[in-house]
Amino acid sequence: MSGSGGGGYGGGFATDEVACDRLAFDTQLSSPKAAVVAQISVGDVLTVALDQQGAVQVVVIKRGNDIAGGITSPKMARLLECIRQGTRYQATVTAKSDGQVTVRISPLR
Amino acid sequence: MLTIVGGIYREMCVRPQWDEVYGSAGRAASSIARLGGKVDLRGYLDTDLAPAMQARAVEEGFALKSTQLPRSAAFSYTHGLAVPQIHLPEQQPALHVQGDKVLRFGMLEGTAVVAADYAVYDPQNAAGPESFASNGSRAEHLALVLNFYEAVQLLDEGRFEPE
Repeated sequence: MSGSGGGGYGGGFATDEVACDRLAFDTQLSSPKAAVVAQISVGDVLTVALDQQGAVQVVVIKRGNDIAGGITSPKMARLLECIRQGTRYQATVTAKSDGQVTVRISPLR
Repeated sequence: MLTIVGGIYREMCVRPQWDEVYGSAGRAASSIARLGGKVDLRGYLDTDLAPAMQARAVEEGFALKSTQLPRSAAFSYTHGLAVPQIHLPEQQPALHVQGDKVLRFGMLEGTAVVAADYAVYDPQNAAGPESFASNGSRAEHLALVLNFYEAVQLLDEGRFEPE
């Protein structure tokens, strides 16, 4: 989407300082695992977990014990911070088109 | 190994809903890595966006060496064909990149000085494109990716017409 070709310019930028128990957003599964995604349906509630991959800690979405994919949302920094502080989240599948899966991340109540 | 240097930006769209970290360089790195190419991505990232791009690099298997800046650029669209609102970053010192094969994009944050055997350069700036060599970049073999307006300005030829 970004690229050359004009546009309006602004200097401000809103940060994502949302309270952990109110942090909710829609995002796509990144690097979806085909075998796991094939078993996922709209409305399914999946687990949000941390996974250490080398020196990098990432957020993964799991169906049972199987990783369905990751997330690479700009809100991930805040999500990581909140999970480390103890808030637990779930991922509800809101749309699925072939391998593209949209989930809503929200705190567990 | 292909070294890619350029903008890594936040992209937001109201409809269709979209909020991701790509930019020209980020998207190129992701695309090439998914096709099996070996990529080394260089660019600026703020602390909010860095974890997302680091995660993508891990998942897709490319190297990422980012330089921190106070706030990354962001492009905000109301729809996919809208003119974006661009949140400009502060200007940063030049990045220096050396490699056999380098893909360089123009950046809102500043510039990248490239030393390469093979280089591809896309200035990504229709209003005032910077020529490849003007910042000291050099390459034995160079390809340019230009739109019409960029070509006219780099040729300094106002009457140039496409055939």
